[in-house]
Amino acid sequence: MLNNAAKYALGLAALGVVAAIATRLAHGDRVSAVLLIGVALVAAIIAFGENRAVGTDLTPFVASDDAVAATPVDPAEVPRGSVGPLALAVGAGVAAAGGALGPRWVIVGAIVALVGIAVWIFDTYRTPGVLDTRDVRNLDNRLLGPIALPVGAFLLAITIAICFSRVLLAVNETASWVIAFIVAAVLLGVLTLIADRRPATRIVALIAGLGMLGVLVAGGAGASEGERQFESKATVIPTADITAHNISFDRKVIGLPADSDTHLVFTNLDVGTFHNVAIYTAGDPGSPVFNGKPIAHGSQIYNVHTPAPGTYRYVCDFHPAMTGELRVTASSGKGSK
Amino acid sequence: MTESLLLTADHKRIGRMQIVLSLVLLGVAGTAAIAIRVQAAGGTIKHFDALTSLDEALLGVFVILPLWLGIATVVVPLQIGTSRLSFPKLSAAALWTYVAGAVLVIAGYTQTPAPSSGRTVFDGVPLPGSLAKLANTKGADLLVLGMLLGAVATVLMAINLVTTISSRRAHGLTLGRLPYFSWSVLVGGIGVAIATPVFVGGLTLVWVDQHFGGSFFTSSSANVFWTHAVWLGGRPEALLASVFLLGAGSDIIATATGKPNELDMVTRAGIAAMATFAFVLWTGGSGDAGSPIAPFFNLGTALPVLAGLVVVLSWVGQLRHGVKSIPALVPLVLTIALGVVALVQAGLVFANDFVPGTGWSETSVIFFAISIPLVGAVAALVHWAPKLVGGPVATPAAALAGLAVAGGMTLLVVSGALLGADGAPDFSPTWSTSDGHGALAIVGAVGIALAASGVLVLAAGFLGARNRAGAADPYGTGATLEWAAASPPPPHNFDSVPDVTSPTPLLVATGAAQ
Amino acid sequence: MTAVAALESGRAPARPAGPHALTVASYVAGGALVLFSIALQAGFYNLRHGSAVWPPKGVNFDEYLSAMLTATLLLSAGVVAWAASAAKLGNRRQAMAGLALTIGLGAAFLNLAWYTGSHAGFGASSHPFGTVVITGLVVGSIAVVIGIGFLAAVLLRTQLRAEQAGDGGVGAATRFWLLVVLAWLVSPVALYGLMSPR
Repeated sequence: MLNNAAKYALGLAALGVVAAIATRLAHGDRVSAVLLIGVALVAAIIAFGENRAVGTDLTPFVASDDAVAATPVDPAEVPRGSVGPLALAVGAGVAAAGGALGPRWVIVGAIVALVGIAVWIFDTYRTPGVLDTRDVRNLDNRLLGPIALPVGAFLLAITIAICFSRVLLAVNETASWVIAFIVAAVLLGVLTLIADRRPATRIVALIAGLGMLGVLVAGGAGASEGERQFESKATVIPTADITAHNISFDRKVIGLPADSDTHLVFTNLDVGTFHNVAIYTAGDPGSPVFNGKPIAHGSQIYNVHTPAPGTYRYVCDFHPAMTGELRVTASSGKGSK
Repeated sequence: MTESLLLTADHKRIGRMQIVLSLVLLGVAGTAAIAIRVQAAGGTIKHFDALTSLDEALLGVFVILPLWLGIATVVVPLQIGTSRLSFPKLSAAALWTYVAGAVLVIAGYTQTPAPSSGRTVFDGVPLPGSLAKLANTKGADLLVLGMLLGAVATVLMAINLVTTISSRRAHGLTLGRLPYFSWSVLVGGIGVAIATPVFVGGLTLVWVDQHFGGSFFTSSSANVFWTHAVWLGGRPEALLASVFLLGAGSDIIATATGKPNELDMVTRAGIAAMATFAFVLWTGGSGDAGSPIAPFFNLGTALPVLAGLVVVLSWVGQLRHGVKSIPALVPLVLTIALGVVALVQAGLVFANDFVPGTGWSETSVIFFAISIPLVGAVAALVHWAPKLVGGPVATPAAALAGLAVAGGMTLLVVSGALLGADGAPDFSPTWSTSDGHGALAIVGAVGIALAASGVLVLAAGFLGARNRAGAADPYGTGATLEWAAASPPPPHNFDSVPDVTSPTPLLVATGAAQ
Repeated sequence: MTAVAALESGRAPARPAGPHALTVASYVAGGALVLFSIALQAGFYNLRHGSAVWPPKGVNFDEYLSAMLTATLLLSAGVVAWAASAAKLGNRRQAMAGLALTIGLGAAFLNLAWYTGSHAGFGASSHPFGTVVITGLVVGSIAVVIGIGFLAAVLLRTQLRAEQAGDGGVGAATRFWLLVVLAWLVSPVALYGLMSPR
C-alpha cells in the first residue's frame, strides 16, 4: 500500500520518464532528456524511501470515530542550541570563498568547519538523555581513553611546538631566548598553582583556552613574519627566476652553472592557464633535459640538475611560442638573479 | 534563559531570521533594480553589468524560495504537532550557510572588478558569445560560489522539512490529513531537493569554466544546458514557490470558511500536480530559451498553470458557504488577481509571437517566479502572524501591504511588457530613451519602490501585532493544530498535542464539523 | 483502535529523530546527491556532443583506473549491505566490521582517485576532456567523503551505545552510501560511453 508522499514521488517519476522520451523526440534535446531521466530515477528512490519510512511510521493511526486523547509534551524535549552549526556554516563560507581567493582559505575553512562539526556532535551528546551512564562509561573506555586522549595530546603537542617554533624563528636570537625563558617560567608557575590547590576547572580551562589561542595567534603572526636570517653554512644553491605572464616568459635569457643542483623558480601569473618550463637541447625538440610540472597559477620551485655547458632552449609545453634561452656555463657559482 | 540568536536551534526563531533576511536581501535586489531603471531613463546605465548580476543573483537564489522555506520552518512543526524539527541544528546550519552565501555574493561586489557576468547570470538568451564574458576574476568567482552556498542551504532546509513531516507528525495525523501547507511543503520540498542540485551542478560548472578555463559554457551546444541548469526561468524552482503558495492559500481559505473542505482531495491533488508539473519546465528545448515559463507557450508549460487553476477553483467552490473576513484574505485575493493578469499577459506574449530579448520574456519570468509567490508570501505572513509574533495583523495594514506589493509588482511588470510590446530592447549600458521608453523605465522603478513600501507596511503591521498577543486562535475558525498552540508559541510549542482524527482536528474538537 | 490510541497517548510522546527520520533524510539527501551528479553528467554529455574529436588527440586516459575506481565502490556497496543486514540481525560486531571495511574501501577510492587525477597527464583546464574527467573525479571524491562521514558517525554510535533502538542508523547510512555509489556510477568517469573515441 502506497502512502500519499510515495504516490506523489512515483507520479513525478512517471512524468520524468514520459517527458524525457517526449522531449528527446520533439527537440532532440539531450540535456533535458538526461535531467528528466535523473528526476525519474531519484523520484523513484525517494518514493521508495518515503513509503518504507512513513509506511511503518511510529505515528499511531487514530480513526475518525475514536475518542480524542491528548499527548503531553515534555518541555525538556526542546532542542538546545549549539555554536557548531554556525561554525560549520562560517567554515563552509570561508572554504567556498577559497574557490575564488586561493587554497589557503579552503584549508582554513575546512578546519573551522571540522571544528564546527565536532562541537555539534559534542553538544548533541551533552544533551540530557542522549547518553545514559553506561554510554558515558563506554565513551571513556572505548574512545576517550584508548584513542582520543593520545591522539588529541599528540596533535596538541605538535600544534604548540609548531606555533612556538614559528614565534622563536621570527624574532631575533636574543629575544627568542628571553621569550622561551619567560614562557617556561609562566608555565611552571601555572602548573605549580594547579598542583598546589584544587583547580577551579572553569578558570583553568579559560586560562588554557586563552593561552592556546595566544600560541596559535602568535604562531600565525610568526609564520607570516617569516624566519630570521641564519648564518648559512650551506652552499648557496644557484637560482634563476622565470615568470609567465600574458602567455609569454618575462625573461628570454637565463644563465646557470653546469652540472649542479639548481633552483628554477617559476611563477605563473596567468591564473587558470597551465604553463610549465621544459628545457630542451637546442635544435632537438625530442626528449627534454628537464620537464617541469605544469601549474595553473602561483609559484613552483623546480629542482633542476643542469646538464653540460652549452646553450639550451626552454619552452612552455602548452604554448610553444613561449620560449627562451638557457646558457649553461662551466664556471660554478651564483646563478643569474 | 534565552539562548543567543546565533546559537539557537528553535525552529521558530530560525524561521523568523530566515524570513527577515530574505526580505532584507529582497530590498538590496530591489535597490539595484531601481538604480538600473532610474539610470536607464537618463540613457546611460553606469555599472550596468554589476547591478544586473546582483539583482538577478539575489532574486534567483536568496529571496523567494528561502522566504517560503522560512515561513515553513516556523509553521510546519506547529501544524503537525511537534515541538521541533527532525534535525534542529541542521536548520541552524542551513540558515547560517544561507547567510554565508549572501555575504559571499555581496563580498564579490567589493572586489575590483565587480562581477561583470551581467545578464549572463540568468540571461534569457544565453548565447555562447555572451558566455565568453565569464571572466576569471575574484568577484565573479565569489558571486558564483555564494549562489552555490545559498542553493545548498535551500536543499538542506528542504530535506529537514520533508524529514520532519515524514517522521514527527502527531498521533493520527496521517499524510492524508496533513494541513494543506504542510502537504505543499512535503511535495514542494521533495521537488526542491530534486531540482536545486541541478542548479548547484550548473553553478559548479560555471565556476570550473571561470576558474580553470573549462569549456562547458563556451562550446557550441552550451545554450541548452545553461537554460536548464542555471537560468531561473528554465528551472523548476521557479514554479515550486507557487506550490507553497497554493498550500498556504488553501489553509487561509479553510480558516476563512471555517468548515471542512468538501473538495479536500481535489485541493491536495492539485497541489501535488503543481509540484509534479513544475518539472516540465525542463522539457523546453533551447529554442524556447527566451521564456519556457510562459504558459501555453508549449503544451508542457501549460500543465502547472492548469494544476494551479484547479486548486484556485477548489477555493472558489468552498466560498459559496459564506466566508469570514480574516486579514490574510485581501492579500490572497490580490495574489489570485495577479495570477489572472499574468495569464492574460502570457497569452498576449503567445499571441504576439514573442520576441526573445525584449521586455516580454523578462516580464513573464518576473510574474510567475517572483511577483506571484511574493504577494502570496505576504498573505501567508499575515495569516500566521499570531504564530510568528504573537498576534494578528490588523486587517487594514494587511490589505494596504498586499495592495502596495501587488500594485508595485504589477506596475513593474506592465512597464516591462509595454517596453517589450514597443520593441524596446532589454536594458543595456547605453539604452535608447526614445518613444517615451524613459518614462516607462521610471514607472518600473516606482513600482519597485511601491512594493518595497508594502513590505515596510507589513513590518509595521507586525510591530502592531505584537501588542495583540494572547489568543491561541485569534480568528476563531482555525482548523489545524497550529491554532492549538499558544500565540506566540512557547519553546516547546505545545503543552499537549491532541490526537488528530480528520483533516480539521480543531473543528472536530469544537464540534463545528458535522 | 481506541484502545491502541489510549495506550499510545498514555506514554510520553517521544518521537526522537531516530532511525525513521534518518532513513527519510538519507533517501532525500542521497537523491539530491545523485541528481547533482546527473546534472554534471548532462553538462558533460552536452560538452562531448559538441566536441568533434573525443577524447582529444594525444590524450591517453587509462580506462583501467576508472574501472578500478568503479569496482572499489561496487565492492563497498556489497560490504555495506552486509553491515546493514548484520545490524538488522542485531550482530553488532559484524555490523561494525562491515562499516569499518566500507570506510576503508572509501579511503582506497579516494587514494585511487587522487592517483588517477595526478597521473592523468592533463589538468582541468587543458581541454574539455580534462575538465570532464577532473571535475568528475573531484565531485565523486567529495560525495565519498560525505558518505564516509556518515558511516563514521554511525560506526561511532554503534561502538558507543550500550543499547540502541533499531539498527542505530546503520540502515540509513547504508542507504546513503548506496546512493553515493549510484552518484558515482552515473558520473562521466564511470561511464565508458562518454570516454569512447569518436
